[in-house]
Amino acid sequence: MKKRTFSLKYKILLLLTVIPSIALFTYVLLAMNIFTKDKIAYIYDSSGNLSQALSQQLRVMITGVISNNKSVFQEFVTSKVFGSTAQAHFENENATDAILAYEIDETTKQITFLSMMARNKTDYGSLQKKIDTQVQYEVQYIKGNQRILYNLDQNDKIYFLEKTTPIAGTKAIYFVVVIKAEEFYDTFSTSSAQQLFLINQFGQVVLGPGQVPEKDISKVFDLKFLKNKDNRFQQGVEETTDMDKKEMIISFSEIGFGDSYVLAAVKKELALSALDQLLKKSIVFFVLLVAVIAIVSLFASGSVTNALTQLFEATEKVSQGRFDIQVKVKTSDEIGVLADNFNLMAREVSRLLEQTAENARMQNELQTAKTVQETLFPEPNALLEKISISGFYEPASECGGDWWHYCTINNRVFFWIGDATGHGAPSALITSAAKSAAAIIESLDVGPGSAMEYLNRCIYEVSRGRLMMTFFIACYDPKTKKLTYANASHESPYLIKKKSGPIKKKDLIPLNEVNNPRLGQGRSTKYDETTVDFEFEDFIFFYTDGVPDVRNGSETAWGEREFLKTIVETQTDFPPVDVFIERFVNKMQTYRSGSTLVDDVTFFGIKNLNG
Amino acid sequence: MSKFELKIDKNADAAKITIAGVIDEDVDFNEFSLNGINQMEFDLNSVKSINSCGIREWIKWLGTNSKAKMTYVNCPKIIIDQINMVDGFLPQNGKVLSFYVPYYNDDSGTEKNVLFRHGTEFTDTSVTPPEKVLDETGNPMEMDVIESKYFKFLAKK
Repeated sequence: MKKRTFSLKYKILLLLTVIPSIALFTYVLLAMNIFTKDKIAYIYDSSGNLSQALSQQLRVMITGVISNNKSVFQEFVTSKVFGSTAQAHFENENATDAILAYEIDETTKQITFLSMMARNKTDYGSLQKKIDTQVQYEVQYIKGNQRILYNLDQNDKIYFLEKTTPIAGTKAIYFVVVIKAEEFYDTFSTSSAQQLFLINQFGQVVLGPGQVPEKDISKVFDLKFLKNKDNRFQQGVEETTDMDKKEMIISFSEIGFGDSYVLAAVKKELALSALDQLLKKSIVFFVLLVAVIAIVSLFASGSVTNALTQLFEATEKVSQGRFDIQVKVKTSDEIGVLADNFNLMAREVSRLLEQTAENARMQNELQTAKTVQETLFPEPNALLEKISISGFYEPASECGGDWWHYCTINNRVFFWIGDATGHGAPSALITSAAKSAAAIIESLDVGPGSAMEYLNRCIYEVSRGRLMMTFFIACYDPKTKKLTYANASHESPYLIKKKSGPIKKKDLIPLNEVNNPRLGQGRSTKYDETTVDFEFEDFIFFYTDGVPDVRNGSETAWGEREFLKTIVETQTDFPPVDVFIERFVNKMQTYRSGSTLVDDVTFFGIKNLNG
Repeated sequence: MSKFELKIDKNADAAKITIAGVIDEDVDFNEFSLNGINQMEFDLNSVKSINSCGIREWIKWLGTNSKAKMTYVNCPKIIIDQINMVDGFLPQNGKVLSFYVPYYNDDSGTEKNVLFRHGTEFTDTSVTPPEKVLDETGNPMEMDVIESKYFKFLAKK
């Protein structure tokens, strides 16, 4: 038997686990991909919105400051002092913290401080020098009416230069407008998920979370949109890296004042932390689900393979010759049906084996019976009281229902031939009874009719009408050269008288002058007898009905015509009786061509040599 | 078609019983009761064969109503052979009204069954065969039986 390798249970388990796992993994992968894109889009959108909102607020505030201060500027240009208009303005407007006025020589770019209007002048004691220095530096780069936002290192104070158009013959006056942007400062400096920056056109950080080296945004981020100085996008989002080479998502939005931008920067890792969490949770869920699938598959495959394992073990036992096994599978699915069929097959094989053993036993018994029955038959060739005898017998199966016999009783020669109903073992038992009866009858001095009556009594008692026997008994008396016979419905033997010249069918004389019921038909049946002359070289052929019923390969019976024709042709030269029988057997076997007999075949001939 | 068929057409206390096929040990005549029938005619034209077990069953069956008058018609050779051989196959009160006699032409090998009818070709004691029996090509045919054996049943009556 083929050795079992990788168990079917594990194959099913593998199948049930791997396929859902692959499907689940693929699903998670696709879902994560879509979710990541969606999340990034969301971050882009929200970050952009934030920078855009802040830039709008700043623009509103700064333009408001400029607008509100225009009257102050006008007053100063006219009067060279911050007068009542400025005073009133500072009282009503809180955004402007200070306004410093400078006169600048456009040729030499030398600045001259003119005046200052501050909400709290003490704050500007030291600040003014710093502003002076810064303005001196900045005017180098200001082109036209360009406005640039700066920070005063005072955290929430930002400023820008506002240039007035000089009246002919006068120098241009620059106003440094300092704005106290507390709310924005808090918003920009507070560290949160999003880092916010307000940068001017040089990339200098005006407002931001602090700790920006040299206040230069390019020291923190590598921003592509800033590099294109001539044609910058008003707003957008780009991905870049920070000083620590961490990936960043940065949205920018132009304020619309002095080419300044609001940046909202967020670490990509932080932005996608939810995604990371989702991934981790998904992995945990995935592992749990696979574990559940594996456990369920284990049970499912177990229920299937347990039945198959039972069947496998059962087939192993069957291969070892044990058929007395039954597989206990309670399911009604295909495996259940298979188990039922297996049980049925095992039972049937077991039954067939028993039947085969029984058949073998019966075959042995039949073989024994055949051996015993063969002892019931006489020698095929004999010479009794100058009567030459030769016979042939072949049963259709192991045992036959035909029987023939000869014996001498008080110098008379008796010839017996009979055919029991059917053939086989039951018929053979009847022939056995007939032989036993004949052995007793041989000790009695009776004729064929009486012998037949004794025989009938015996057969009747044995078979009780269930089996019968046709029988023919003839008795030759050498003194009278007469043959007396009685017939119990047996095929009439043919007498062929010695004659000169070839014999014909009409020369066959059936011995049918008397006929009575078969043996075993009635308990007290009387049997008539009659006598015919049986003279020197006369021949009689005795036979059973199986002879003309011999079949060839085409299942065609030999038939009475061919049977009689064979007798005539074989006997036409009046050969010795054993030669006749030999010729007859040859012709019959030639026709039969080895076909199975349908009935027992028995015949014998006798020839009177008593000259 | 089964190998054995039996049909009983009853008319008052008479019946025509038509039998066809093989009569052997498988035939159960007990299914066909003969009780109440005083006169029965057996048409045996289509009986194909009969073996020793079939003969036993046949005789037992007819014995269930042995007082009835029985006639056999259209008996093929196999039936006549049994009548001749087996005492009781044709009951004591039975009579053959018609039977077939096989004819044969040895030269051409042609065969023919000629129906002999009571009162025409035979009587209770004698047989008067047709003067000539010819085959389809006009060749004379001879009786394919041993007359002393085949017509023996008539002498019994």
